[in-house]
Amino acid sequence: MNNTELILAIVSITLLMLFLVAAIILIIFISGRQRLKQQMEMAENKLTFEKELRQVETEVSEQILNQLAQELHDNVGQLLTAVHIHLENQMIDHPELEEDFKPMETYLSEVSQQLRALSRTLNNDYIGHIGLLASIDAELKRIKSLRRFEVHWQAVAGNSNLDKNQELMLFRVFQEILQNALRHSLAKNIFVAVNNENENFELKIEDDGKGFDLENTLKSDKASGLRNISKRAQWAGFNCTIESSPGKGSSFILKKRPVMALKA
Amino acid sequence: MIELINQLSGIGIALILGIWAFRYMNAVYRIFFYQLLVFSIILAASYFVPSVSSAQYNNQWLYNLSMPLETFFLSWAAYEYFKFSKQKYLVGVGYCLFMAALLIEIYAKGFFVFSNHGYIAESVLLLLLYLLVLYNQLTKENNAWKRSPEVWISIGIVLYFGGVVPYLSFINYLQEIHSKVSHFLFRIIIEGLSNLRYLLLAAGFWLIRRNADARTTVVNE
Repeated sequence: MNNTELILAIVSITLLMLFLVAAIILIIFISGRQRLKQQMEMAENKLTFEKELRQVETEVSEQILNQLAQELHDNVGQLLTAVHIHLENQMIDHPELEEDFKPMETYLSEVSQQLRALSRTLNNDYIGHIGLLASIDAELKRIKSLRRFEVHWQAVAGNSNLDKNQELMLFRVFQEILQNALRHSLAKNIFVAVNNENENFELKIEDDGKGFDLENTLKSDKASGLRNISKRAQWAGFNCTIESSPGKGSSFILKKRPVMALKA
Repeated sequence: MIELINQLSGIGIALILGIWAFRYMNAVYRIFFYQLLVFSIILAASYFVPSVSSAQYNNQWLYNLSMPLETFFLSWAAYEYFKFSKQKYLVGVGYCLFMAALLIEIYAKGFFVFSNHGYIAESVLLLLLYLLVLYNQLTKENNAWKRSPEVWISIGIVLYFGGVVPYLSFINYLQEIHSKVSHFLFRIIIEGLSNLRYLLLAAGFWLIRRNADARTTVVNE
């Protein structure tokens, strides 16, 4: 083998090796892209599935709440009206017992009012009709009438810039937070504020109750309510920030996630 | 002189860009830079040693010295890059195998003869490790592979160590029988691929600085 042949042989083998390495890099590149594409498709499918699941879950729960609202309004409300009429008749028939019947009549009126208010807040058509801010206002009036704590309510005027579904879901989250405060917080004051500056909708609910250890609660099996609040808020397109510590009350901030702007 | 300029062009550019981007480098990139520094010193010594050596024209022992250092730095960079313990374990095992091959050959041929089998073991090890790095990098969720320094640095390493294996397999034989051919092939294969490798390393360093500048601009905006 002369020098030229030797050089050619080694250079050819080297080129072959380089070609092989380049081919491996290309295969890695293509398979990597395909794997990424598959992962993205899977993530997209999962998202679509979750979206559909969320829609079904929301529809079912709203339907149940609607039925309950209708039952309260039509049946229980009618029965209470009947009791009220009967009581008034008794008062007419027995004027000497009017003083005894008066407190009962007052309580009955109170129950009817509470029931009507509750029925409205459970009815999604009503919430959709009056809007989120008015619904929060109505719910807070209802809560205030229970006289469990002082309600401090501050809202900016104007449109919430949320669609009907977002408003409804956010209102349900708000109701759940209030119910938690009613049941567990032992608070004396509750502060609710809505801020819509620069169309960055934010709902803040704070109480001065006993608070809780957020980290440990989230680790325990008692956090299903909190997780539900956070999950529902995310579904509605909100970031939910929860802050609490024992003896220092609790705070929930629901902030609308910014929508990514597409560059032209 | 032309030989020296040819060899230093890639390394020189990589060194300048490495210093320029050093502040923004993470641990992995810094290891690449340290390897470059060590290699530059050994390369300078490879020119200096024969000129002062009164004995024979032999600087092969310098390459036997640089081999474990180069492999150590590049394996360390891969070790730092990998996230899973299995991959890190692979680096450790690979390095031990390479050292075994190198020491056996040095023991058999002596320290002053270039250990070509050791270099082949190094090439195979680094080829596998950096193909794995490339795979990890290209299957990451973000799509910015063009702007990823790891991708370009790894391509340089993979092409170099893949391309030098055939020549290195014959280097000692060629050195003895056809030393002129060996010298010519060394120029076009080793130095050519080395230049390509260090130019890609330089591109990687440039991307580190560019990415850091882009991030700063976004934050300042």
